[in-house]
Amino acid sequence: MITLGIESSCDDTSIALVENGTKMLASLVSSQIEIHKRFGGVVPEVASRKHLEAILPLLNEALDKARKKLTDIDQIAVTAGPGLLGPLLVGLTTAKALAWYLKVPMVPVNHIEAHLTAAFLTAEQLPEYPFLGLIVSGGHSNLVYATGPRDFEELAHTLDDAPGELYDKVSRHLGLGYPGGPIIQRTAEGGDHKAYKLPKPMSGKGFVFSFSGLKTAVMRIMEKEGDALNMPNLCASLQYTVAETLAEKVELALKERKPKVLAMAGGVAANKILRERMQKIADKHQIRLLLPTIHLCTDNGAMVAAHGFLTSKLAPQNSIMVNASANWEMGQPYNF
Amino acid sequence: MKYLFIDASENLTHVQTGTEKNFSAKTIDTNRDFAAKITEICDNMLKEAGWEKEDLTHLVVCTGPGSLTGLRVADGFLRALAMVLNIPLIGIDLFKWSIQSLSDKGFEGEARLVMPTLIDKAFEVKCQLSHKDAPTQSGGAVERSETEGAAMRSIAEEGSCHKVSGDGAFKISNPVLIEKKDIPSDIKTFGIRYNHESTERIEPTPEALHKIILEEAKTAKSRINEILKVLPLYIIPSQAERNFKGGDK
Repeated sequence: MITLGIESSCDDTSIALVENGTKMLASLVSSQIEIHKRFGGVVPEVASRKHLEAILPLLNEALDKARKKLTDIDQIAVTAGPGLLGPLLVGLTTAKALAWYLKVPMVPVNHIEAHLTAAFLTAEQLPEYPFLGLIVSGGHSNLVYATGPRDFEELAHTLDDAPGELYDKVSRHLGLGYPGGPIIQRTAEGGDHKAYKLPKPMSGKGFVFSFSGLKTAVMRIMEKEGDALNMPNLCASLQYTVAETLAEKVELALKERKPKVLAMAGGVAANKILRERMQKIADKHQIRLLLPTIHLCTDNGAMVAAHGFLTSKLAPQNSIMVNASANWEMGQPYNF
Repeated sequence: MKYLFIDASENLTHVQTGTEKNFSAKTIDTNRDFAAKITEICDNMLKEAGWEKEDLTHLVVCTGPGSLTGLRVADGFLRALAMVLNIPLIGIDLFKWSIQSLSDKGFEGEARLVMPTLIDKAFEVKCQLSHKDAPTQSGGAVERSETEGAAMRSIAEEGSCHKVSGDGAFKISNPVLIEKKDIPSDIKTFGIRYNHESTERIEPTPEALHKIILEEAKTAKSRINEILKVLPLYIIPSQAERNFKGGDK
């Protein structure tokens, strides 16, 4: 069964074709990072316009790459939320037109749930339940215990900023640019993570994240150090503290739930220090760690297609009538 | 010829199907849920016309100005559909549609058309409608003429000329944003789907739309590059773009 995946929830337009939920036939992304750079973040209206321009040429390119025709598609999976409403609607209406014409099912997909499936897609396998999932990106910081394709128990979420958001904000304050995550990782190379002591937010306070205080702490160091500020050391210290903060909560969940598998997903899951830290935890607890490739960490249509394959039987028959939902939470009912 | 048209530029959705001989138009209140109902709306229009999707020869979308989300949903849906059906997508803006409607009412001469936006501004275009001396082809720059008045010279410098049905033609300036409070009253001013103390309301009519579609269909192409050119009129920059003053940082 071939699933077409369409993703347009933020600033990446992505189209993919995935066979049986595990084999990527094509996965293409058209990034708008260069366009939004000058604004210091994603501008929803501008993103919507660019999605509209990019989506059809990308679809044609993906079909060519997969050597498939439109009529080879068995179902269409599309991100219906959460995300920016204008961008979401571009992907959703394109999916509706294709599903309507091809007379195939349209499966609305929750973007965050799909990120977790990306970790399994990398291993070319369907998810094994139960597993512990950590989703870390520009908009999300969730620790969940998954027992089925749409069954999640949320163990922790952030009270304020997500880690990716923290990186973007700090990067802007440091004058390093956008997007923050990759820039901070590059700047941290060769830096000493012990050089600046940053507070580990919500340490010892159970299942809760908070990252906005770290931004304030970084700004205080900037003010105090002035011209003496060592940028690589500061970025290395920040990455280390974020990784340690996430690691503490993951270990807590592993001790409590004792799952056999840990999956990490989201844009921040591309961070090298965080990946190494999670591997250490997996080794210590003797569990399997699933990490998406760097391509599958960021927003992509392949994870949408794979999750659409996984949840197709759970989606209502009249899914083509579904609406986009900017705040659609994991495991929540479809939005009509 | 069998066309399907969608205008989602305002709260009410206007849809129309037609052939060379006749057309059927509907206005639907989608209760701000147009994106959810778009396939249902299209299904119903095709059912009433007795057509299958594959019977369609042309798709037509209103490019605005208007609700950016509504315009984008309609355009996104019809662009994808045009591509898979391998048929042309025609974009028609509300200025042209309204001028054709004015022409059908027999209006001739100089006029302004205004259209409100959500901010305290309105679009304004200047136009001159003539039922004779039609240009030989639509589009392109208007040649300046010494017999034209100063206002119309301005239109010629900024705008373009288009055919209307029959022997008529109009010259139109590019849209500019003016303060709503500054809507002029010196020459005949029409408000597109808009009531204002110094304007006369003009409703773009299904008849006028049908005439434009028949004209545009003669040259419309189904090539993907042509389909991709049909985009909503993004006349107002987004808030972030309006606020942005610096260079790349």
